[in-house]
Amino acid sequence: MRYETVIGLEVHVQLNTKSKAFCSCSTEFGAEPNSHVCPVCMGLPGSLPVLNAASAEKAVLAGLALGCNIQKVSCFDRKNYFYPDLPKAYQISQMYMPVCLGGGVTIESEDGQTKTINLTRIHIEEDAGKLVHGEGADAEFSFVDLNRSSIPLIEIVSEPELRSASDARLYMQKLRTILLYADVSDCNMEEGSMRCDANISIRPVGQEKFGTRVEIKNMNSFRNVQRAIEYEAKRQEQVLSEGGTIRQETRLWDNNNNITLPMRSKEDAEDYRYYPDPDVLPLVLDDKFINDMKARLPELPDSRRKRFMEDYGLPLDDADLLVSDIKYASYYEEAVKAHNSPKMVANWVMGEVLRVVNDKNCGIYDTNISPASIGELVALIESNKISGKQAKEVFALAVESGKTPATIVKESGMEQVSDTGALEAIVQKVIDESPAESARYRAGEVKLQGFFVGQIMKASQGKANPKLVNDILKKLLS
Amino acid sequence: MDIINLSLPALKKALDDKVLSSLELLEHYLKRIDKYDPQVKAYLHVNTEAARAESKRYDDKRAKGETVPSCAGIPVGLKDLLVTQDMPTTCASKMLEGYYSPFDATVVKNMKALGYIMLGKLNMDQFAMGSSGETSYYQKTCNPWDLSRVPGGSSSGSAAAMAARLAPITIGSDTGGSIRQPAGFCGVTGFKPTYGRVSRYGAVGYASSLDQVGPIAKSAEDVAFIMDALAGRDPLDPTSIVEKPASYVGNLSADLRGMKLGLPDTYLTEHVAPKVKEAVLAALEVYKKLGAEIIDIKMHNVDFGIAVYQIIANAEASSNLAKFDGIEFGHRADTTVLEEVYSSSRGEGFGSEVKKRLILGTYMLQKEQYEEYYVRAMKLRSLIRQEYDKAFSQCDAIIGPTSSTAAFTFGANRSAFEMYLNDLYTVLLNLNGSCGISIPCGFDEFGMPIGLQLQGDMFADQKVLNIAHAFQQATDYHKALPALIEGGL
Amino acid sequence: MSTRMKAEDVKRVANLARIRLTDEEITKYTNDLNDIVEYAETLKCVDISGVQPMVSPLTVAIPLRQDVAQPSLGQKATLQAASQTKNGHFKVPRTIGEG
Repeated sequence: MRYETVIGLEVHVQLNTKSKAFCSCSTEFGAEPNSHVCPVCMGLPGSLPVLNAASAEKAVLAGLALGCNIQKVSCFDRKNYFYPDLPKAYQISQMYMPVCLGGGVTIESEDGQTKTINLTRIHIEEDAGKLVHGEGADAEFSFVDLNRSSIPLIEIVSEPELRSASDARLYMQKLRTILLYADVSDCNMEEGSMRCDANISIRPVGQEKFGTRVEIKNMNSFRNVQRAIEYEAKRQEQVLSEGGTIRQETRLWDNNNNITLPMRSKEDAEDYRYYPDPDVLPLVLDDKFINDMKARLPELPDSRRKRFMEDYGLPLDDADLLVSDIKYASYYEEAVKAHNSPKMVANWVMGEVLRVVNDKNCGIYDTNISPASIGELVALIESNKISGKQAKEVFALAVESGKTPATIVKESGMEQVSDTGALEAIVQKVIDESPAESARYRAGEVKLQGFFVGQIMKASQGKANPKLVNDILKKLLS
Repeated sequence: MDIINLSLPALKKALDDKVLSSLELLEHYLKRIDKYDPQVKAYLHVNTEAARAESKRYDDKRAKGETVPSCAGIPVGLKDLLVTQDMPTTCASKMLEGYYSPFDATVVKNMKALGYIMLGKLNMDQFAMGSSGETSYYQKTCNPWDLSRVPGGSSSGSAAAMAARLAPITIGSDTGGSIRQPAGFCGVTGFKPTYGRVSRYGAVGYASSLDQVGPIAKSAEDVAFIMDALAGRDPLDPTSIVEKPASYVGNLSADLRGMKLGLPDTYLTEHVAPKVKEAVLAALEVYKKLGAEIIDIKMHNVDFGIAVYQIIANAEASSNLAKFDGIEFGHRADTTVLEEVYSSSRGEGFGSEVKKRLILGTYMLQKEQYEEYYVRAMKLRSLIRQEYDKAFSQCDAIIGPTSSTAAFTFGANRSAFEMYLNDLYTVLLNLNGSCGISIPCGFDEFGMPIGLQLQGDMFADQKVLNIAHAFQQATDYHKALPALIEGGL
Repeated sequence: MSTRMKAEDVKRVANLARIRLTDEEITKYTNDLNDIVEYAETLKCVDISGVQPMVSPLTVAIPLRQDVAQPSLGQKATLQAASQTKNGHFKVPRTIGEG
């Protein structure tokens, strides 16, 4: 029997606010354990939560970027459970009335099809602390660090509309791109600022009814999302083909062994006793708030890609790569602004600049060469001041020194001699110094052109513009 | 000088005029605590040394002619659920034995800024759960009017200390009557401000949508005086939303002309002890003489108020008190099994009444019960609000008894259900969220004080204080002292 | 009418609330809780159709705090009231599953 995989994703994204969701502690990553903690985020008796305006703003920005309906009234609920990383023993979340409903993410599937995956909702919640498991003498213990406790999150819940592991990965990647555009998170999966839980079920192709779903947790990279789903779908097929049944359960992705392992079954599932948090009044957003957020939102990747193709005449692949990161796109546009040669600039950004980004593992604005410099470099090539080969040298020097291409060209005397008068003088001098060769050339021995060009380049210390040299040589020897 | 009967404004004047020093005032109360508290058992902690140092500091400043805060040197007793940095905060529970908070409750901070001296921490029903004061882990506070009787609860220590004049003023908290009921039982004046009027930051939460911090005092005038320190918006409490009013004490007025007081048809029924009914009817006559009009109003939601309250208060408590798990603070059981860190710490740390209420609240919030109980209770709460809104469109305040009886003897009310009925006349106001006050209005056949309750609309705090003040200008019930302390210090 | 709570119901709910009870407590609470639950049953007679739930006495929107980081308690003060700590962390018996 052929099966179809049905996947719904729940993606948790840490919002990049300066302070936590319900208190003023810093959200800075990597601080000493328990140094960014206060009575509120450690749940001390008498403390009360006060919502950070930026959590609401960023949640709405994300919602607008993903085409959601922003809810003018949303409410906060308590999700009650006991765990050492949850100091209040409840998480403030939005169960019943989330801040965003609907919306969607459009992906280009590997088969070239364009699909829109609808979203169910986006809600605001607070993160839990971090547990570190002891080793050696402390192997019996775990250790709690509450620096992460109450950092704002949004949970983005998709409809079960994904049908393959690769689509799931593409969905995650597209989601990340959009959220980076909206500047709501750094979306770093390794650091845990973007986390994904997948609900996976399979059903015979053509069957309407969904199969029993299994929740997979702990996939901390795009690659693992795809691998875990592929594994789990195969596992479920195996179980069914052997006449077994799928248990509704939560499983963990084991990154080392590339398998999913059972964590808890539905019977052990906690009753979270969701109810409206009486300390946190409803979040009420007026039109002005929503319009302000709309104004804060940059042009989004899909529309930017379209514009790059239309306005700059870029091919789809170029436009795709350049809009895949809002910083690439703005870097590119700044470079084009410095020198209006869209395709040539695109080639330099996608080639040399991104190579540096990869080599140095740095941001595109941290490559030591500015967008204006890329524009300048392309301008130098196109005005015949330097050759393409020289341009690569100039680029390398610019990355190394931080100097502008024009300065480098000037300092190193690299500029091509394109002054016809000056070139004619050099050519004439070479002709005068080689009477025998000149006579043979005039007599028809055209292959001697190479000899003359060599001599001219030598005389000009390599700076003569080769195309002009050829023209002048032909003229003076004719 | 008759220190214990001086009103707070008079006390402030005596201090300002240097007729009385801060230290003298403090020592007087410390002596009283030494003498009477072994019987009353109101204090869990007396802040003797720090209070002395602070009082002396203000006296020195005054002597040098330096400016001091407006209420410098007035001692105040705190219910032990207001967290304090330099005194332990236990909520009268084993769970928090020896716990020191790294911060002061906002009301404590505000009072300190005005120069109030923190005299000590007062006993209470454990985690404010109880209405007789008997659930404290540490001691049973006695009613100064008759030591064999309960002081009421949960602000048992605050009311008893006030009645025995073991502080010039005390602070309590009210979730279902926890200020008004013990104030009524102890013959003092207890005020529950409108929800949102006083910061709850640093008041250990019982039921977040019902809790409100407020004073227990000798008189409505003293209540108004200290409300000027307590009220106001606190950026740390998202539900304290109102800016500070000009001055409650400054705007106090006994002029009741044109005022209408509503007497609900369901308030003076057979549930009410005859002497209580008598006292309330007599109070109505006083008000008529003062120019107020008494009108009949209908309040039928009394019938299910207790049940709605039980569901909402306990459900909220079940998650508010979930943080007491022994990990970051509080009692931790001796075990190496994670599940037992939770269940044993909580099993050992919480008292019986607390455990029962947390289990009840947890039960009500379960997925299967949620709609039937919790959501239904929230809807009924809306109906209660509607009924109050209608009542306050007809009258300025609702008048009636604070409790159906005066203080009972220890252990008298046996069944849990009967205990909860103690709150019958007070819980509805917390569900509505508006303000109310209990003032003494007579004595029963055993000589125990009877409380008269005046309930006002949302943010009608000044009006309710004025109506109470008018009564106290015309009567002397609030000036009566228990025999225990009569003619003493 | 409602089904009365039995001892094992109380035990199950107590477990959900993470409260260990003695057998005597279970017996006592079962009776007390049934009294209250029975009383709560009376609410089912009231017509609540079309009534909105009331979560808080306040009908205003949540006040928001500006996104400015302020100093925290510091590690020492954060850990001071905990009974078991180590190397700047709260110490608990080992948890299983997710970290």
